[in-house]
Amino acid sequence: MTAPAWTSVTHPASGARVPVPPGWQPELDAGAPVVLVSPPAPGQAPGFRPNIVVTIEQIPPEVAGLAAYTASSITGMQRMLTGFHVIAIDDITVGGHEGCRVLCGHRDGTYALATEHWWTVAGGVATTLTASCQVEDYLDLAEVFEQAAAGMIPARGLDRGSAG
Amino acid sequence: MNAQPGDPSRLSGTQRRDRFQALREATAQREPPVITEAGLRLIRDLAATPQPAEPADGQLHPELEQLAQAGLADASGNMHAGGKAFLDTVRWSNAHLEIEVAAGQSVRAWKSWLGQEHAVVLAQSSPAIAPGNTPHDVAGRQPLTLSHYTLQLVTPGWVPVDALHWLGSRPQTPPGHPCQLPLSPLLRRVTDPAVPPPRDDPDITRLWDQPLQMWAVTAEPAGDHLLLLDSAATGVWMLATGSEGTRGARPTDGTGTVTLTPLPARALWRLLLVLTVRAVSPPGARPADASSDTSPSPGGSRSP
Repeated sequence: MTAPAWTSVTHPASGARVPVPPGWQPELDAGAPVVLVSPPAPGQAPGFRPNIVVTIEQIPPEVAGLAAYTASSITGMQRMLTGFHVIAIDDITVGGHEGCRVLCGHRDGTYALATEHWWTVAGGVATTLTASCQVEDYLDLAEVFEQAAAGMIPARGLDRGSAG
Repeated sequence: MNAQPGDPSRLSGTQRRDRFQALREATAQREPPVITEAGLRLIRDLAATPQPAEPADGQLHPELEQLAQAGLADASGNMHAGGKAFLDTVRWSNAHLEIEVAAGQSVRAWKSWLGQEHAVVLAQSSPAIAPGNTPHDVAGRQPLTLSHYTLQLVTPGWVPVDALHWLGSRPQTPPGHPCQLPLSPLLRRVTDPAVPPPRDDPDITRLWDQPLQMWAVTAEPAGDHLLLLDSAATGVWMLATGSEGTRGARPTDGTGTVTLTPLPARALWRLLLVLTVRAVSPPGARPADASSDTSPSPGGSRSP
């Protein structure tokens, strides 16, 4: 029996391509991020559905480099999220570009959430893949998130007027 | 997929498990710290004077210890990021929601300050009426011997959830219609279960036989002031003085009659949501008072 195949979606305004795990629902709009949502498990109680969101943004000159963008992103999350913790930061390659992998945890109401980010900055455009799930599901999903990030092709650029 | 040694883009199973453990520890729900009023005053003072002079009698130590245990300051009186976030949220808040619950000789308070990104919630012991509580248990409540608060720094959206959790919710079967009562015996009944019901009416007698406590809810700057009656199994009621229709009451003199309108659990939840949203919304952008269902309006009495 063959395992269900991964597919992929391409963001029309930027050319960013993201692998789609088997059974996940892609939601794609030229002016919005690429969103992949995991299928609800049969009989599973309603809860936080694991998801992957890819955002593409034209970044301002003051955060043009990878280090500055990383610092700015983490500061922003620290400000906005309750009980935010950075668990690990790794310097990696994302789609052939210098990039960063950041694992964070925070609380949102009754949920303890894990968010893992892969981002890279190229040509003034940042491409970020953010994978989120409940902390308790992280061990089961980490490999799926990693595989999606490993197959992501970052944005080539960003059409004027399109925000990811 | 096999992880390559030293390749951080692919983690080994051991690395994943280590990170998973770190995530669990970092995001575990912890008991909120408990702070006394003296500890709260000390936070305020530390903001102005990071190194407070220790009094000769050493009385400062317990409060500093509280703040250190809560992660708000260190033992030398230097404020940590958590303490600064707490104080900044209170100082620069957009709205304040406060609930006081009176039963017997006891008044317990729940206070929240809502900022754009965070909210601070300070709460004394929950006044929720437990299933086994009798009218005498609740009417016999004494003032808290230690005035301490649990302190939480939360997202603003969590505030109404926390308020409802603090007030408590339980199965209830309120009569489906409002009733009118003279105010004076009702107020006396809250502190003395021996006060007889004002008239022979099955609904009123049923309410009268329950543990009773009053809730005063204030939302600023919206200027909402509401008075509610918690009658345990017969539910929560919004109080309005006779001439005010559905508007809330502030029975300062205890005279006249009061209209009690039943507030089902769903309507109470909606009321807390509306009060929160309206408190943080600028004038002109406030949501409609009443919901589309039969929830009473949170109009209450308004500050000018």
